[in-house]
Amino acid sequence: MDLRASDEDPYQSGSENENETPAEKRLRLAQMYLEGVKTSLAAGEYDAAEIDKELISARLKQDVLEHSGKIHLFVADSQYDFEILPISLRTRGHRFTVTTAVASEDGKFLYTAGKEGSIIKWDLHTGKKLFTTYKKRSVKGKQKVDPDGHTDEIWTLALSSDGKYLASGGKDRVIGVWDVENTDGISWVKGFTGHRDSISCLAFRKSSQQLFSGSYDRTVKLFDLSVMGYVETLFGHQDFVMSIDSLRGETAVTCGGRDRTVRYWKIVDETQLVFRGGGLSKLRDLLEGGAFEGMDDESEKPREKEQKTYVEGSMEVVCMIDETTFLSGGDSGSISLWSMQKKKPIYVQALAHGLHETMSEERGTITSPRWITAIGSLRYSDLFASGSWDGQIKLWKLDQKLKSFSLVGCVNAPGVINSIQLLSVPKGITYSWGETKKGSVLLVAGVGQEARMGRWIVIKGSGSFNGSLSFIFLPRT
Amino acid sequence: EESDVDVDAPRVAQWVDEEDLEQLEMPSEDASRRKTGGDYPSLYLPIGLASLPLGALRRAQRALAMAQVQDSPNDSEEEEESEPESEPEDVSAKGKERKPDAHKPEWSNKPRTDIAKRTNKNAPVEVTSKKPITRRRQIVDVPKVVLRDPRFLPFIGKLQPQLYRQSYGFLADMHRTELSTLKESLKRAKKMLAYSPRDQREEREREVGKLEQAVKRTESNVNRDKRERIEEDALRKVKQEEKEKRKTGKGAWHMKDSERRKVLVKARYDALAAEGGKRAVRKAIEKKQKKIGQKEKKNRPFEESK
Repeated sequence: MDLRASDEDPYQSGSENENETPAEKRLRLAQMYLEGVKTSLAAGEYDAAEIDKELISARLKQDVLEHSGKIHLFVADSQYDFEILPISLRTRGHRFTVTTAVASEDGKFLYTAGKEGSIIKWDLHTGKKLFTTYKKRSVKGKQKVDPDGHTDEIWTLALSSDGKYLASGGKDRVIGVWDVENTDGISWVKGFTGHRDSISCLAFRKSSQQLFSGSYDRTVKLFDLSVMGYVETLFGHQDFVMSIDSLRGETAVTCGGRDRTVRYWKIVDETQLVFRGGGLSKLRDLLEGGAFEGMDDESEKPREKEQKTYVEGSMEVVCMIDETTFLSGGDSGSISLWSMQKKKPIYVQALAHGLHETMSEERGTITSPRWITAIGSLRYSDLFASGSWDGQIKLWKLDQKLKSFSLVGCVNAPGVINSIQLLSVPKGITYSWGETKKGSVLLVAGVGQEARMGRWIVIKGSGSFNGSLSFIFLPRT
Repeated sequence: EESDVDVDAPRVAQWVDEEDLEQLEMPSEDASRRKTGGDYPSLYLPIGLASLPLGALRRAQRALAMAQVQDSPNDSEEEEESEPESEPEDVSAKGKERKPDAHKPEWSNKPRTDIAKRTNKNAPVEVTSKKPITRRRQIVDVPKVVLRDPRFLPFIGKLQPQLYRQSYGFLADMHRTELSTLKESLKRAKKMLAYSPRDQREEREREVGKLEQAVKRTESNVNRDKRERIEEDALRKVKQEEKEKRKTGKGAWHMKDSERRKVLVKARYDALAAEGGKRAVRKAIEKKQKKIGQKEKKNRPFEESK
């Protein structure tokens, strides 16, 4: 009888050979990866000879570029024709303002959430409502009831990139996780109750099931939905976390409202990089830059004795372009382009959506800049869109050196734009309301009559409605 | 080969006390032992467990336990394509090696030492993300008031003696009046001291002492004022003369230090003469020479007396 322990190490996987060199291990892993790619492309067909070699190489190339974390699609200028009016799909179904509208990565479904607490699933191909979840009545009392749905306004939605989980959060401090894979509808999976104040923003890490949540309690929490558990909390913001965005890597970008910082969180290192906003933007800069159209006083000389200066007091929205570049929008109407190397923005576009006039009894007409209420970018490309309540969504293009950006087009979108999402339409998807070609871009915006997290801005009339708008931008032929 | 490998040899590195290690490293006389299989396992053979001190044994046991714990499956690497290999219980596996320390708090207030300092002042600051924010928060940046010495601030400007004399000329008069009042009060205090009862004597002595010091201070102030006035007047006179000469065509000229000293000394003695007469001047000169002589005498090396 051999009482000795076996030579095999119980903590090693079976396929690994103990005497494998690193090169051999790399080869084995690469073969495994290729197998995975082949099977995913084949989608059921096991005859390897039928799979076009080009498909694999194209997919590999795309994967490499995406994993590098840098911008690689230079599409804005050359490809899209923003002169022609794009066809839009309007979905109406919410009683109150729509706070977020997200489309799935495969371009099939659209999810919208409204201030009345309901989430609606739409079929993007037809534009028909598929499913609605309603607000649950809040249970008052001492017993801790496991939440089954939302009981208050829903402020934000996020969809995982594989389209399996939908996360929602709002005023009731619960992050709801819904299973949306079965085409019947949306079913509640779990509610995370860790946050101590309203949840203002959610973001999934691309191609994973990790969820970032930012809340009014100034913390950012990380959850892993593959195991339905809470992972960790990140501290740092001094004011409400207004917006969050993340890409493939274990990093996220958030902006805190009035603390005027944008923070880049490195999860693995447990550190954050602090970028300081809150800059001054003068009317003079705007006039000299000339990016603003439709101003009455174009005849005014740039050098004015009384310069109107607008200070960015709060940073409202943030959006990641690639792993080292991101954008933010503030309440002075300025869109700032940030790079990882500088603590101040490398380019600021002041008063992107113009000035807004309010009547006051004491002071007469007060002009103030329109805030940026939504910003969204086509990932890893140089195209992004911004929205406010001036009735337009503006599309911008980053220049070649990624040091500035300029306006390339606008689309009409009445009401307050509460969320913007840009995604490239995958091959083979068609919509009944508009034609799509290879390489078209879908813009999904959640619009409403009120601002997302409060009622500071109310636009009733001039065509504003509560719903979502989808536009398709076709590439130039 | 089976015979070469010693199956009872420890598979994990054992802790060996330093003295024992030296013993091992000494060229052992038994070359025969070297022949049998690897040197590595045979190194530990000569040391019987009985010869190891108890502390070493305890440390070895602890090291073994640590090694076993760290070998447990915590190296779940993250691969984007393959399924997450983390076990369902280990929710907190983040794709890096984590010590299974149940007592580690989720956040700690100790400053992080491994965060790199930023490369230049324009780069963003890197701080820890695990430290909770206090209730006391600075929302508005209050500018820090830096205290600076007003004498060295640029907007003060250079000293203008004329202006100074105009604005602060009254100080000389004040010093003089102060001196006279102090002298009077000193006189009175001395008188009181002479006629004071025993219990108040010490206090009055102290007062007299203080007053004497104050008198000395004020006297030196008065003297300084007088001296400075004399010197300033003398230098001003020379300057004015130079200005006149320059108007009539003389070139630029700068007073040397030695010349300046000479002028000042002359001015001092002139003032003394104006005040006291020739006798006073003579006496002052004699006194000075005597003093200098005494000092020189002191500094001379020891001389043999005649």
